Amino acid sequence: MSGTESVAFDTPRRERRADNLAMWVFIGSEAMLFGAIFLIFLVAHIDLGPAFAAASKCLSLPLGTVNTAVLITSSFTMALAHMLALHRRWRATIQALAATSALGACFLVVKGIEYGKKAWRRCLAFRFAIPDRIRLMPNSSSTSISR
Amino acid sequence: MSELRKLSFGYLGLLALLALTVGSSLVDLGGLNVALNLAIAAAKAVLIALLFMHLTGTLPRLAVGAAGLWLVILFGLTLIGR
Repeated sequence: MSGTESVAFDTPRRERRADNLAMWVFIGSEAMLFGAIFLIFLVAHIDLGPAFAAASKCLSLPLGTVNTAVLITSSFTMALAHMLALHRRWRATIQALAATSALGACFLVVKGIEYGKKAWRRCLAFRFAIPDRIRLMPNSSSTSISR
Repeated sequence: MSELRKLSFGYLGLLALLALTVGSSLVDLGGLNVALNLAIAAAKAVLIALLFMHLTGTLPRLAVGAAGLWLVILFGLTLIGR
């Protein structure tokens, strides 16, 4: 679709497909990183169920819902920008990208409000009791090593 | 244009799934809540990958499948040893 000559590929179509594949490989590598983080979250959730249940009472359902809707809408405007760019409608593309940026800023503002409220109510992490069972477990990795 | 309809369908589908998530948080289904939320999250991921990110073609799908395979190994071997 770009007017420029490709250096590395015979045809623009082939270059586009290579670009596409590389982007998915990149996303796959991101999934590896975030997969490990989600795994840590899952293991903590399994080990510290009551603490997670207590902490979840501090979460705001309306704010969380609004922020998820903001994220979904920004995904939509981003996909819209991609579609418009393929149709070379640049002005509309820029408007869709601007909307995506504005929604990103909106997301951060809501996050700021959420964390501000939690700090105000002294609800941030590490304030919830960890059961003694965890500390006593012989093969519980971090605690037994650090002591 | 049909592309716009595709994106709008994805957007409305994601909002419906969000509503389902919020609704499920208001009723206590026991252990089923977690399973339901994971299923909803998976459905959202499929909608986004197919409609918003145009996951088409054999090679890109193979790359995503490979990432999924390694995640299964990561989660499986970690949780099986506990």
